[in-house]
Amino acid sequence: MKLIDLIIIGGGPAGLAAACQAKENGINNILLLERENVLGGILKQCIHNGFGLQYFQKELTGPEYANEFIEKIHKLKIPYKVNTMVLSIQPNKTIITSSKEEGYVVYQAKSIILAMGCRERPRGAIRIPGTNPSGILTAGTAQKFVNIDGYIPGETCVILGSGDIGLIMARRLTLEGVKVKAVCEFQPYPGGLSRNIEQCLIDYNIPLMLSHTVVAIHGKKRVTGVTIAKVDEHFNIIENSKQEIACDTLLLSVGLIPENELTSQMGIKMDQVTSGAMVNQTLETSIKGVFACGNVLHVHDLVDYVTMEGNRAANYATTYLNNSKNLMKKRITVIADKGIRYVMPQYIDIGEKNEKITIYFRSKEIYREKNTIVKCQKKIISRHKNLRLMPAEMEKILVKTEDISGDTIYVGVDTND
Amino acid sequence: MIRKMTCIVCPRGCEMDVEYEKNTFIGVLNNFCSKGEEYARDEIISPKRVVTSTVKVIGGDLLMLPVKTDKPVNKEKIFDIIKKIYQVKVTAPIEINDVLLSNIDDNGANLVATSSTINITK
Ligand SMILES: Cc1cc2nc3c(=O)[nH]c(=O)nc-3n(C[C@H](O)[C@H](O)[C@H](O)COP(=O)(O)OP(=O)(O)OC[C@H]3O[C@@H](n4cnc5c(N)ncnc54)[C@H](O)[C@@H]3O)c2cc1C
Ligand code: SF4
Repeated sequence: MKLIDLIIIGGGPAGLAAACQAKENGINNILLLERENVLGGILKQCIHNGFGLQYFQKELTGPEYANEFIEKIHKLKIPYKVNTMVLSIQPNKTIITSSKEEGYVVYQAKSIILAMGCRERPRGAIRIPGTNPSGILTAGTAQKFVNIDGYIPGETCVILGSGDIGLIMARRLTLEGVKVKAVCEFQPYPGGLSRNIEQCLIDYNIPLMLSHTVVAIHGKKRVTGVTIAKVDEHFNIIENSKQEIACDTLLLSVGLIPENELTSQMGIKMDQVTSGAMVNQTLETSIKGVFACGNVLHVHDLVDYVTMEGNRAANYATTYLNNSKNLMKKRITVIADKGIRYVMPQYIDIGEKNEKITIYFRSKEIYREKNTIVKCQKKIISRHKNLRLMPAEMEKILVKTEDISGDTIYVGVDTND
Repeated sequence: MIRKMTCIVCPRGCEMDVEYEKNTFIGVLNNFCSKGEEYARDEIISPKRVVTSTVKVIGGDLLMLPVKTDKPVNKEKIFDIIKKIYQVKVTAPIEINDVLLSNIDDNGANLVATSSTINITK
């Protein structure tokens, strides 16, 4: 069995950033494992631009963004293996892998960074009644068909869900000559970023139907159409609003779920809302020396933030490997309070040194001109004014550990002002 | 006139109030940075976008090569440009940033590769 200081699982932007940063921190005995035949993760199929503005201060496409890091991996001579699937991880950090070239290989890691990304929710997760013809696929699968395989999945299309991948695909398919008839969104607000509504839908006159859903799918062998309907504020279908739209393809863009089978099987404590591991401010999971970053931890809207989280995970893994940890004195639980869907980290470990800690969160609905506040023992210890809070956009707020008393802090929207 | 406009330059997506008269830009409010003003001005005078797509590759480790225009192009020209991109077929190897078609919009923008692909037939 090979002994490795740091094993990184997943060669997407999170894993690539973590590997480069760890190497630059002086960790030499690293191994990056990726199940696909090339590095880059999901970025390879995201051929549109708009990546990198925060991290590189220039606008890149997905493949260009990935290339920046892949070149760095080669330059830093970081060992990696592609076509290598991690099958399981034991709580003692034994990693079992399988690959075409080497078969079944077992590694023993001193520390691990989980960077397995996320996948899309399939149709089963949303349960639309009707037949099960061909022509129903997730937006990400369609993205792979068009951008990697060069295959256009249909001629007329309806998209259910307004997540970013759905919006990007509405534009991509339109440019490829497909008639995109509508994007239906169950919620009263869009799921994707405002800029994607603007440049993918409005630019091409594609209707965005908020508070609408698909109630039936028609067709025996191939989709021939869908029935859509409006929903009221309690998400009940308004019967007389039903209308049929003819189409041969239905794309689903109804959200992403972190790919965490490996994580939960190794006994790491999971967060029910993010579907990711619960971590402290050093991105460390409930198993010491095992860190998580990128979409496997919580779904990010921007790859730039994924990269930054990958860098942070590498820094904390380095600290762990060098045994230079800020000794823990007390664990604080961070709770998502009024108007907040989730927080990350879920724990703050207060050590001997004072720290400034960034708490990331998403709101449950749209708020304008509201303060986000952090409270402990009924006292407000941090306040941040947001012009606009949207579930589609991740936000952050700072807290100082010296201000924390008690063992719980609450992050909420101040709806009083 | 005042129009609401979402800046698409960065993911912050500022919701700006843009004042204009026909094709004349007057001013902008609620933009976080100066790029927003630039975008708003262009959007009123002549809106521009970067076009991304894919082209077929012969002999490469990729079937489809991702491409983009190396500058934003006039919005009305997007479909013409897409038609030109459709005609392009390349032979591997290709390096990232290789120019595949120059002056694709008759205004100085080139079509460039956004990925490399190696030749697997040799
Ligand atoms: C279909 C799809 C399309 C997207 N499109 C966009 C977009 O257009 N714009 C945007 O900003 N964001 C997009 N996203 C979000 C995007 O995922 C993130 O911005 C970013 O790529 C996340 O990086 P990551 O490294 O966390 O995950 P990923 O890029 O998903 O990388 C994870 C890697 O881990 C590997 N892996 C997983 N399990 C194992 C295992 N057991 N063994 C070995 N390797 C494993 C995977 O093969 C993959 O390469 C998209 C997401 C999806 C799912
Ligand atoms: S105005 Fe500046 S900060 Fe705001 S969206 Fe545009 S580029 Fe981003």
